[in-house]
Amino acid sequence: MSGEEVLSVDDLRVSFPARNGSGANFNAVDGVSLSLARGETLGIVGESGSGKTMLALSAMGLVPKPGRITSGSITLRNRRIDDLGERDLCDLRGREIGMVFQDPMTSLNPVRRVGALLVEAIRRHNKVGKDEARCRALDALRAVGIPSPEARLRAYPHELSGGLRQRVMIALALVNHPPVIIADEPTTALDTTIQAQILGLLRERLSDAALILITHDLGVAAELCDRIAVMYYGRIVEAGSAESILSRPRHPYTAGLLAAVPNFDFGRPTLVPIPGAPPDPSTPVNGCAFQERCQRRTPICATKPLLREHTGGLVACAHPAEEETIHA
Amino acid sequence: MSFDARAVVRRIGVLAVFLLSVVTLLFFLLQLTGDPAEVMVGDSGTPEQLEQVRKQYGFDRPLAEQYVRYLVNLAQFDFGVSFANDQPAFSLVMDRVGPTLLLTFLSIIATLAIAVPLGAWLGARPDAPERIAGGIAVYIAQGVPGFVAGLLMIQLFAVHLRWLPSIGHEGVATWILPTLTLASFLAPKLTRVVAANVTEAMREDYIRTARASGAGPSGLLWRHALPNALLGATALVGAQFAFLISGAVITEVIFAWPGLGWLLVKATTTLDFPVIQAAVFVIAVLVFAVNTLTDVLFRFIDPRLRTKGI
Amino acid sequence: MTTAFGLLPRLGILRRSNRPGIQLAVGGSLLLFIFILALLHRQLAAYDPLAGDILTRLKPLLTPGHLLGTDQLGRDILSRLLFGFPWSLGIALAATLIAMIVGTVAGLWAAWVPGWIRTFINRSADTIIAFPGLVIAICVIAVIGRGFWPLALTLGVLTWPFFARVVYAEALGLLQREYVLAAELFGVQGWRILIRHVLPGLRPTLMVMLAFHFADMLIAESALSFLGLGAPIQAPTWGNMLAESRQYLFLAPWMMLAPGGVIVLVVVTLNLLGDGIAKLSRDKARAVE
Repeated sequence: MSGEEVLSVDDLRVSFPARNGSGANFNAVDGVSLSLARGETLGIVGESGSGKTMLALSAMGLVPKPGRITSGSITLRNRRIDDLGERDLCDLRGREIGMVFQDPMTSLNPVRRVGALLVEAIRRHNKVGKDEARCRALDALRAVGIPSPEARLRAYPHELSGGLRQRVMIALALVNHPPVIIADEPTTALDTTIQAQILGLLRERLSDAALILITHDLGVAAELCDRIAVMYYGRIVEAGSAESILSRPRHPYTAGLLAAVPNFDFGRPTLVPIPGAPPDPSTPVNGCAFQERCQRRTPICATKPLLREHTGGLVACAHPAEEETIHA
Repeated sequence: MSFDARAVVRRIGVLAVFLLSVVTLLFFLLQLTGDPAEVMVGDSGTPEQLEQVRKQYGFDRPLAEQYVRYLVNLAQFDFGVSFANDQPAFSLVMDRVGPTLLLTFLSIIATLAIAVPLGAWLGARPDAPERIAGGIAVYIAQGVPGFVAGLLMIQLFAVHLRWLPSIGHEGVATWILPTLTLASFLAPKLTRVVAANVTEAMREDYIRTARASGAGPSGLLWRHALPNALLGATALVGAQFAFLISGAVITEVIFAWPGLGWLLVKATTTLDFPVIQAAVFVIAVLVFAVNTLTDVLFRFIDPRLRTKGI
Repeated sequence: MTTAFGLLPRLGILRRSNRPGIQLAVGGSLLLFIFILALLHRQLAAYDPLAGDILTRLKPLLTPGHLLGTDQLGRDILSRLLFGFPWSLGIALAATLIAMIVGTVAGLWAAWVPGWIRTFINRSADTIIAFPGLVIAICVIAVIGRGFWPLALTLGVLTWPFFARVVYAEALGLLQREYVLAAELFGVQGWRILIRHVLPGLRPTLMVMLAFHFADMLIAESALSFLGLGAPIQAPTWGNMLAESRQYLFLAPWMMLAPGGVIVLVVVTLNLLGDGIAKLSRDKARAVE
């Protein structure tokens, strides 16, 4: 890890009341810690329901009601933000931390022009006139490679293609140059070729800002990230440098995810889907959350494994893969 | 916005069928009275007078001939003269169009001025206690028929507080109660629609995007959620114009407002058929025109529909 | 299309305050209360609703013996109000049932028979809905005269398209369902399919519409009576009472409170029931999915 730390999350828990009305809570994010340095790209990988989006939303102060942060802290550029009021959070959002959402079709207001969205975001954080804001909006569109930006300023989202919409989305998140960007599945809704373009754009535009890339796709994470954290059932089960995670997965879940990615399947003869399904985040699990689907399961898995140092990375598993077994 | 000639022709065709069915209904309604001549002459008429009226208006002719003649006359906007005062019915009616349009227009403005802020306030955080109470109040208000609301407002503002005149059509002060009365026909319903739409819009992904770029609570509501919510509200106001005209009839009678509705109700008490026919005809054209206008307007307001033709 | 874009309130979002239970409970108990008043109006009324007494003219609320006061002829307002139940509710119910029967038959017919019959029914329904119903009702009543059945028939016949439109749309959907198609394959006769298989599926919708339409018809009936084009002038309907109160707004402001209040009570009750049933059947439909 190099450079100053811009974002750190420490033992964060985000809780929701259980839906059955019993008054019990469940943790959508359960004791997650991570840190992000300037210029760094961190991938957070997991299936849907693993808590990765909720983790991102809590960093934005956007945890949807009735969920709330019950313990832990979030520090953005040496300032605690998890206990800030809505007004202070509004000042931070877009200026200190920006977010790119998954589906550009539903995430852009259908009745507002692209220009209006950008100008509003610019003027929210800068004391500039309409003309100046418009110039900056044009620059923002140019910077994300949108052709004929003058015309696009007057366009409505539905008049743009999916790829262009996602570029607008990125322009909107970057327009005030926040030092931290969170991109939540930025390419999932797009065609493969457009996906590659958008990932390239993100890589190019983020040389000086820190990025958290949230994805279910280890392949996408591998392409862009310095470090990767794998989430399961609201917890980080494995973290480390992208290279070490991809070449030597320690957690059986990570190994399973890798086996399901065709591109990284060099060593293995067939695609192996992970058997079973992840536990419903609202049902309590004792011990390791992955044990039901795990081939390495032993009685010790009934105690919750802690995230610990192992062969140069972090892993929360009683039976992490050893150096030898990986190479065997 | 593209202008499709075929769509225009189709609209005119619909209007023609619409008007034909209305005037046909009115024609046979007149026949239902038994002997139209008797209606015209009244109870005091002598047999000679009856005979004369029958000849004069062609009531002695076969029904089909009368119907055709009736249609030909209507095509020239000739509805005959009012039984009451021998003036041409059509011009009598046309004189009343202005006041009715004024009343309807004012009340639409009032409806929006009440329903949009109130609905936005109720819808923005629907679980807050004061908003639940407000929601219940609006729910009950929706059950108050417009004419009951009108009587209540006369009681309050004209009888108890003596702020406003309860009747008439001279000066802006006399406009207020009729406007509010007609507004009460639609305002509670519109408030509920706006509130529900705002609540709905507040859950949309684009609101999260706006929050992520720093928009505050009021900006979210007014600039991001409300524009979407209002599209539905526009559709409702447009679709309810016919209902609003029904309300205008009652409101005009309550406040002696010299519009189409008051004229129509007065004409029905004397069975003044030329006036009834002309009034209903004009109302039909009016309703059709407004419906068409709102369709076009709606396409213009909603950017997603703008690219399509009429 | 509008609904798909979320322009109108999208169905199916359940909040705590949206649970149908409270609405149905409140609406149901109010309905029971109204029903009892309507049944026992004869026993509960202390006076003849039509008999005036010149000595007790225009007595205010809470006058001994006249809880809700008296009107310009000295008639007891409470007794008139009670005798108004069978009149006002009766006309509204009859009109609603006529509209429902005509509308359901027309809607089913249009859904069953494609071609010109469907076009004709749907176009007529659209035309009638587009027109201010009160205007036509005024003209018709003026010609055929006041009274219980003229009013019920006019309102019923003028408002069938509201049922027809909904029934048509729903029946069209139901006719595509597997079990209906299967019945057709087995050679079940057309009208049997409609009655045995389609009609039961329409029941929740019809119940909701029944409640809302009943409320609309009550308002329409009292509006027409209020304009002097409704029930016979002597009849103690709520609309007539309101019409009379209009002349005495300054002298006897209480005259409008009772009939106005009871109309609001009934309409709110019916709205509660309609909303409650609608939400209940929606929740059920979701539970099945």
